[in-house]
Amino acid sequence: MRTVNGIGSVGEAVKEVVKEAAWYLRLTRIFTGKAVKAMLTYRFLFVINCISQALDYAVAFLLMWVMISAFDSLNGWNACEVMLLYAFSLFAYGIAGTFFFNIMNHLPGQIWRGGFDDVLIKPVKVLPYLLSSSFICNYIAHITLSILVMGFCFHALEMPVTLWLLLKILRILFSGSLIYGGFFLIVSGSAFLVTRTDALFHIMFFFREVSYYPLSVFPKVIQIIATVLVPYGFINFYPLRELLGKEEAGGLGDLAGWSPVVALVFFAAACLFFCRSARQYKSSGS
Amino acid sequence: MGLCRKILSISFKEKSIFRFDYLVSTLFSFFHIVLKVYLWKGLYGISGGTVNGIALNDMLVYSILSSFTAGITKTTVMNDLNDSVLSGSISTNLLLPIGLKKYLFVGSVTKNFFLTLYGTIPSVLAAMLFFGFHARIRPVNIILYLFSVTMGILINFLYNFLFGSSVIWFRNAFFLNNINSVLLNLFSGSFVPLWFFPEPLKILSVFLPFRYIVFEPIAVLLDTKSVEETAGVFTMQFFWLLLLFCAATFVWNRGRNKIMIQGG
Repeated sequence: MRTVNGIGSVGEAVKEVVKEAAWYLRLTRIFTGKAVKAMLTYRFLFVINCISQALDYAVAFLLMWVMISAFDSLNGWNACEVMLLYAFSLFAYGIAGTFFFNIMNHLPGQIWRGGFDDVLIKPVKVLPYLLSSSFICNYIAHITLSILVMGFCFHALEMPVTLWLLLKILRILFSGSLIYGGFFLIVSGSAFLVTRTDALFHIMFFFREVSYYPLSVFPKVIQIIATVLVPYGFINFYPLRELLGKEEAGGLGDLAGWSPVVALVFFAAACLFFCRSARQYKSSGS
Repeated sequence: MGLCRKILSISFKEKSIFRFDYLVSTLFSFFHIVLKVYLWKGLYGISGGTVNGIALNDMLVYSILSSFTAGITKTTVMNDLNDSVLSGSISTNLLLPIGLKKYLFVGSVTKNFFLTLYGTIPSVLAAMLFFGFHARIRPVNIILYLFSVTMGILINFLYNFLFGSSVIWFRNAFFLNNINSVLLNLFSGSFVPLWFFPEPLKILSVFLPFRYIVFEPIAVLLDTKSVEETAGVFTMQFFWLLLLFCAATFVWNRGRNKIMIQGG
């Protein structure tokens, strides 16, 4: 009887979670629709912004190509392979930014001004609500450009595009997006604990830059930090090293298989950190 | 001078309130130099050697000097102009007795002076101690560098002011910042020196003002130019200065009557 009751209550709980998830998905659809409408209202500025961002990153790719081509390779990685590292990191950043950047961008201001009260008085859970309402379209340029560069590089490296390769790529991009999402949440959550989060911004963007190049180029201490403390190595370096069949011995060994696990654990820990930090919120509004 | 002192003291007070942020940003300025240095070490490989006539040590010296030069020539005037038009605060700035262009220039130089003193210099010195700095620089080259870098500061300011003024017509010119960083990153030589550029890009860079902001002053400092070439650099810097000054004055005079004050 107890087992039947247990199954019954587990079933009820699952049903409740699914219902709640469906409700937040509906909310996401509504907010996303509004974000797209807002973007279409100022479509000229939006298009120009996308073009300028794409140009900015295209120049970064060009400089990378110029720099590495002048030397043939960077620690055994040719120009196309390094550009792939950059493209994978940029794509993952773009996906994570689409959902999480606005949280990181607006939350500190909301906390200073006490505007976060508005979220708390709504009959919603904080993180799912913020996620639903923070969609932005501004990362189209990042995503499009990185797909183009990936296509170009895989073609130049003469790698046949098979279904298996596509699945592997999707796994890498999904893990990378989760890791970047985790970083966005950690920086956002810190806003509840400290007045300014600029320092964390610096750390996040420095390691983001590190992730554009083979980790093995950097000193061992950076390799350890980028693997253990801030797992940027799992966004692109370890998985791509395996994908491209590189035989260099940098980093902390062959950790490609750990990438999805690390991404899930890191993202879960970041969610937990955010929720715990949100409890420390003290309204400062009037 | 009084205005400079005031802005400097405000900047210092602001930074001392958020001193942890300041310390971290200085630390990460240093880490950025570390990143650049290890990239060049990775490119040159274990054997070292020379590429395009440039040895690893020259590149390390260039990386440190380019961080310093890019730091002191930096300006946020395009952003400041855009923000002041968007928020409407340009209305009060226009009433200032010293004129908006001069006000923005003083603000930019003072802000940069602070950032150089407390951000760029400590990180560059740390990099010099950490990686060593083996370059023979003659006093005359330092004087020529200072002259050239002053022209670089003015060129960068005027260029940013000229394109920042377009906010009057666009209403929001935030995208110009990206375009500006595209051109500056590519052609100033702040990340990859022009020595390694393919010929078409090298030729294109000659017709743009950006190489005269970072690359050429460093080349003058490192004594890689003959007397005639140095004179050529100064002539080109003067030419760009004059051209940008005339263009910026013309555009600003045409535009200031069209400014729409927003906010309230």
